[in-house]
Amino acid sequence: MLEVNEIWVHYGRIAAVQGLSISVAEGEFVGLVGHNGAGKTTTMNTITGTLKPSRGDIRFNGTSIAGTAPDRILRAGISLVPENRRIFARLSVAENLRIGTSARKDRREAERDIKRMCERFEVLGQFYNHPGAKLSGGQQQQLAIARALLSRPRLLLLDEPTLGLAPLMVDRVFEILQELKDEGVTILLVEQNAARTIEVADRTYVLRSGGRIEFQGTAQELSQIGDFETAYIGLSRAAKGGAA
Amino acid sequence: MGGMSFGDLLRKVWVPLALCTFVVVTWALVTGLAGTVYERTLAINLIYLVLVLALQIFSGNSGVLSFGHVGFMAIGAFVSALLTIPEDTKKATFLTMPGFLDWILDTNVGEVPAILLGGLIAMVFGILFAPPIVRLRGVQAGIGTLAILIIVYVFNIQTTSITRGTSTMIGVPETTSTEDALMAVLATIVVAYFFQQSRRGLRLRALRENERAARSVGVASEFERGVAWVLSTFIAGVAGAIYAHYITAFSATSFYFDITFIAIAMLVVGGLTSVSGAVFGCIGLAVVQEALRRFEVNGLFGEKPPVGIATFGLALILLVTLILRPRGITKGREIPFPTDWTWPGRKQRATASEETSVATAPPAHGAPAESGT
Amino acid sequence: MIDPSALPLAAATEIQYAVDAIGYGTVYALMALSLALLFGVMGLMNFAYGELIMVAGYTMYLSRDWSWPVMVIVTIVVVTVFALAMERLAFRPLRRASPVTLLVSSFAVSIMLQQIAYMAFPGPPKGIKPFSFLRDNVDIGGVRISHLTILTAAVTIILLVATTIVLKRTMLGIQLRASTEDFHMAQLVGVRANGVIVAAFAITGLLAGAAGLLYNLRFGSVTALRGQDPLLIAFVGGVIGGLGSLGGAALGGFMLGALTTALTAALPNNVRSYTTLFAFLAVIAVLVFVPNGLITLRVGIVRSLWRSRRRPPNSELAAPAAGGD
Repeated sequence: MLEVNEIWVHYGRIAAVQGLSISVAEGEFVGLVGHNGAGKTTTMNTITGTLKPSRGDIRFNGTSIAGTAPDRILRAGISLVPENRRIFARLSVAENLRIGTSARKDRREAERDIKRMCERFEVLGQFYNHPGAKLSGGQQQQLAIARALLSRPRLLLLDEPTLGLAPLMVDRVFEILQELKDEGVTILLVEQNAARTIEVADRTYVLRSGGRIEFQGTAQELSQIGDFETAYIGLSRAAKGGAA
Repeated sequence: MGGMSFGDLLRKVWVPLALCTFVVVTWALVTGLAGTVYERTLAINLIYLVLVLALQIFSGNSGVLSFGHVGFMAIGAFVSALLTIPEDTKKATFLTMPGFLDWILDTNVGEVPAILLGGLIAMVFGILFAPPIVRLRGVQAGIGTLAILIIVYVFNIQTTSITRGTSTMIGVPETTSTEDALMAVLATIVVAYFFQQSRRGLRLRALRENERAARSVGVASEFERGVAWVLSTFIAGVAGAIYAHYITAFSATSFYFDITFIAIAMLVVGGLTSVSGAVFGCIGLAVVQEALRRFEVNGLFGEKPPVGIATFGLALILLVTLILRPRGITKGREIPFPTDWTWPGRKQRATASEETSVATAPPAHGAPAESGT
Repeated sequence: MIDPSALPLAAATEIQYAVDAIGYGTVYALMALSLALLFGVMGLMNFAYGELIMVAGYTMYLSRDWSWPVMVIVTIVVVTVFALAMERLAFRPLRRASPVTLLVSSFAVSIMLQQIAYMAFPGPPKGIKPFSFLRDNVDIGGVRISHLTILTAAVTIILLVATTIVLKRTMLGIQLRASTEDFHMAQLVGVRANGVIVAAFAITGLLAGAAGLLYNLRFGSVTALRGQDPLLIAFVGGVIGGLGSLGGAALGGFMLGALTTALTAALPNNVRSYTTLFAFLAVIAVLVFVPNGLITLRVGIVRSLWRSRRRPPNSELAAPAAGGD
């Protein structure tokens, strides 16, 4: 479904991503982990059209989308839950949800979807007419996920959805991800919490700096790599205070 | 070649030397070949160049664009004029001079002290406005400095007892010659360049490039901006004083959006961040403007364009420059030393990160690489 | 407009000033709202907005022999076309530029339009035909109010309400407000960048057309520099009120506009202009101490755009050297 082919992304002279290739198949849940500076967010921003790769190609269902405007990529079916959530703080929850349907033509069905989202994420129904700024971090994350889902994406990208959340909220986010996976949503998840990502994902890429792939594989395959545990999961466990 | 060799020294003074030579050659060509017809244009544009250099000292190094410098130019002009108009003329013209300024009527300090005092008083006002202005960046700074321009303008228009408001000043001695203006330009080029190269200038430029990083290594952003601001208001005041003694007939309305626009256009078209940009922008636009003016007055092949084409042309050049070459014709760089010249065809060391805009402020929105919807 | 000799009571005069002030304050509210909309959506502090008022004036001058409904429609259409042309020719190529670059380029556009006006309409100010029915006054309890004042207040209030409804209730409005807050994120949820910007310019054009009609009718003539004063008042009012919020800007524009109108009528020339001076000193103070504007501050909106301009939301794009996540 999504094929990222040897992309290079530069910030001025610095190459943040050097020849990265990843792929996501229909219905698959793919994780992308790595420490700070590994190029994860850069990759996400390049897939969603915010950045332009200086080399390489990105194909979505066979069509090249590299360097296309973000709103077109969304219309093609890729929706992003961005880093730090970036909900519209001055818009009400209702308006935040409505804007998620911007690209849709089926107004009625979209309204129904908004209702469904409010049932699914109760807190959104509860704060329906409150400004987004009133929500807590975890609630905002749910709003951001709901907003992204409302465009009815064929591929959902999530960039560090648990960043800065309380442990309980982290659990809730992974619960939601598990649910989405069970529903058959195709997902590409970027996370620092490697252990939990590997657990929930069908397949995970582990990046080292410069967006180069260190390891990849399923949870089992990754656990068989000797020093992987100590090098990555161990580190991230220590960093997250053993949240896993 | 050990220690401070001649080559090193030459490299150190290369930019001001080259720019001064360029200005002197321009002056010699215009006075020698074109004669008196263009003498006035030349002198006025040299004075504009002093103003543009003043603007460059602050805006170029700090990256904060000022719309307010013409206000300080006005202050310099009025102070210097009031201190040099013959006493009798003053007594006859300024009948309602406020009591605390009565002494001005009996004072005449002579040209050079008056010009320096004009600069100093402008600088005093610069110091007064400095605390708020140095705290502002980006558009806010643009609005704040624009407010200064308007405040000074309104004050000058309204305070007719001191400035004669919209009426022309009378009896200002015509003491500035084209050569004096040239000297002022040369001195200002040297000041502007060595300020840019000084530790102070370096710190300011570091702030311009990355405020957070510069502050983290202990650069006091507001103080550094303040120093450049105060210095540049002094020079703007001097430019005003010289202007006053050159054209002699001026009023509060002379110092408003017109000159502000010309100065900003010259600096931005030339390249905000370099002294070379100020010089080339000023002289380049002066030539274009004068050509358009001639066209306006004399027409071409018997066709006369409507009045206004000169200013329109400048505005169009400014807009096109902003779109096509946002860092100005010099790309904000100084003239390279002869041995560093890169010839067309040879690989340029330019990078994408340098292709930003007028002020080095980051893009407002993280606009996508290509937003062609 | 008001004949002082016909007024027996001082109180009546004051009420008249007040009514006038309110009537015209709303025009400035419209202008400040337009400025804030453009500033919010694309970071453009549009100096050339005043020239839209001027364009309205010249259109009215050229269409002076036509019946008033035609003149109104033609003026609004012409001004809107100018606003859209401005976007297409000058500001779209600068989409990725910094707000300061946009400010300078709008300065250039403003000067260009002024020069075009000088070239196209040389000579003395051009007269605008007053509509006879607008010159009459109504008498309400000894207070005479001109029809023009009533019309101005009515039209602008209707437009302000209509704009509010568009911004609050329609999908376009939600998209515009979302873009004001986080332009890039809006695109990521499917808002078309060109779409919202063109819409913002179109709304600006429509409002400027209406404001221009009312403003120029009051003056009865137009010059190349006609747009300068209203621009400055709306702009200062907007900054004081808070350009980061549409409501704050409109209220700021209204208050300063009303104050200016009242002072113009009530005070001798001298003091009036020194008030301008104090208004601009206030601008500097507001910028330094309450960069979000006075009104926004009181409403207590935490995240104001005005602030976020200082620190762009996606700082990753802003700092080229910050490679990686």
